[in-house]
Amino acid sequence: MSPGRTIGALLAAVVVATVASLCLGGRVFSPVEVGQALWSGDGSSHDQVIRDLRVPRTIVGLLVGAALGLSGALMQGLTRNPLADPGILGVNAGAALGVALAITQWGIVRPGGQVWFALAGAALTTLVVAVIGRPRRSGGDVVTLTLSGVAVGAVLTGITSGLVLLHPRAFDSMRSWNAGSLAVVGYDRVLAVAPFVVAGIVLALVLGRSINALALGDDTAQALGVRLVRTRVLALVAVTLLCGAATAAAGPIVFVGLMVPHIVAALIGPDHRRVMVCSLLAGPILLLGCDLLGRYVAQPRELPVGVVAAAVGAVLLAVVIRRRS
Amino acid sequence: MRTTRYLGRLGVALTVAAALALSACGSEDDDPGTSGADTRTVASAYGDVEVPAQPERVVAVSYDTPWQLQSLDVKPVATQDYGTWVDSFTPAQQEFVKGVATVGAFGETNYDAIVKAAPDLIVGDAYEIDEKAYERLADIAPTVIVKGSFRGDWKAIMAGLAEATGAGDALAEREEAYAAKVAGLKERYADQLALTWATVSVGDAEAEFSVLYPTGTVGALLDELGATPAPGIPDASPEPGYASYSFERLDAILSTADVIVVPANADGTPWEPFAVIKSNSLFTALPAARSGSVFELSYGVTDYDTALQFLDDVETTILEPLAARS
Repeated sequence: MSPGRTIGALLAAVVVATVASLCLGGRVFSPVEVGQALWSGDGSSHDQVIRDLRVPRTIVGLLVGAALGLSGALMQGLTRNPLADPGILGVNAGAALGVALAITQWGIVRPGGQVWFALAGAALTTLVVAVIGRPRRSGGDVVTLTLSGVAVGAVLTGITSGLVLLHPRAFDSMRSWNAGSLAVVGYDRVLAVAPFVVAGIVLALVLGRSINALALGDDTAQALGVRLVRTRVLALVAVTLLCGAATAAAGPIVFVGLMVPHIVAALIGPDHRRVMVCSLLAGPILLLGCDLLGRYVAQPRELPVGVVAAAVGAVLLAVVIRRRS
Repeated sequence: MRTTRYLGRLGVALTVAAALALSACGSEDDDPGTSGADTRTVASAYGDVEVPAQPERVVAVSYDTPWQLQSLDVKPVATQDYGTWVDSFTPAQQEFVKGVATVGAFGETNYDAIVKAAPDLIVGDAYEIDEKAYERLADIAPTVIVKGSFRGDWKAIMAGLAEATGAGDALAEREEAYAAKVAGLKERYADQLALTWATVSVGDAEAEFSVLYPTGTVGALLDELGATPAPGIPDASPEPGYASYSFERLDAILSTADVIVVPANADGTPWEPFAVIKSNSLFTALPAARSGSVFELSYGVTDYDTALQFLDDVETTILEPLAARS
């Protein structure tokens, strides 16, 4: 499929996933009913479900899916590591610890305050993992970086669990957030994280050409005029913005950042710039799809998207591995 | 272990034999110190255990156990360390464990601290103490780990603890008071209990709420009182005692309830995590919310004392006001 057609198809799929997310769930609405609730609602419970629950949930799904998909593609290009993923490299765990500290140490429960701690946690973790996992020889060391990410992530997750267990207030506040869920109420969370996701997306896309050159190796990239240090620093800033904001919005969600670029690359080839653009679109499709699945598989209850994404991601990963081997 | 138990049983056998011999001699001057057995055999989740006839230094190793002992008038010499969580208990409970030695926080049993407490009996709950932990504890002192048929089955757990600590009289007294209270409420407030009830709390996600079922402590208490469940509540027997549902179903489930019970702190003040749900427009639009029939109760029931307190609260906070309206 040509790149233009692929992007067109993905855009159409994003629209379908968005409409489905607005219409389907515990209550089913027609697209017309959704439109009426948004433009001329009378405040009935029907309108409240659409306005205060479905719409913010769908926007969070779009933002978090885009952020995780794009940051996964960016990290895989930057590190030339097919296992790079904000979850596996511990960045989400760092963001989660930031939120846990915000709640336990300073009693910050508003998303607008938490997002800064999530960003700081993501940034620090990115730095620590990059330093511990730095390649000892040219050409990079995929395993060292991945293992350092897994190790740092495990330590940070342990600290988060400890903090939450020792602080009753944090336990109550983080119980639901820890599973990874798009089910939010109102627009506080959307407004708190949207500017950071948008800034991260813009920065990542601007870097697209340089990341593509980096994939060819440092020497070639330099020969093509890429400033290595500046590109890497800006890419890490973009990853931090995207992962920190996504985690502050929905809690830690694994596999999406890993899977989306792999699926996209299998469809359109390894051009990193295109993989990044397509991952930006495919992330929300996968995440909203998993969220919709979670609304139906355990009816009348719902499964959090983090749980569904981990299950779906594991299956997709197995399929990708089988196809590659 | 086996040797200790064997010697324990041998001790009982010899004591019984001595007692029989004494009675056979026709002595009318029975000394209580020598006529009764020094130990008793009690059943536990991990087999029969020899315990002192009247244990004096009881260590409680599970989270709810101190309150169950409090309800049996047994003062433990050491309990779990509740740290900052201690604020979530009632003033009476906080007073009860004040100054008592601690043996580690939940999930972090400090065996050295247990040894230091010099227990003559260790008691706990099988949901927290597995067989491996039991064996370590039993090396320190006779250990009775009790098990209910579900988590929070405090009546069965308390019966086991009463047997272990020799507090049968206190248990019988509480059981009687509890049965009388339940019967009295059922009789006096039959009309109010015939209304439709829903007991709720926070859910598993930000946009979810949970319904408490009779498979949990509070759900079981209201069920025992005969409170009629709201027909919109989905049929379920969830193992943790509650099921979490999306806000999208809040209207469908709770609009069928005449009375909605929501959680409060142990001191009766509103429980902060629930405030988000209580102030949500979908909740405030419910018939029960509009008619002023949303009532706050503390859900911290672990034993007869807290259960009786809960029933008192149900009466004063919900049933009396409802009866006054009719």
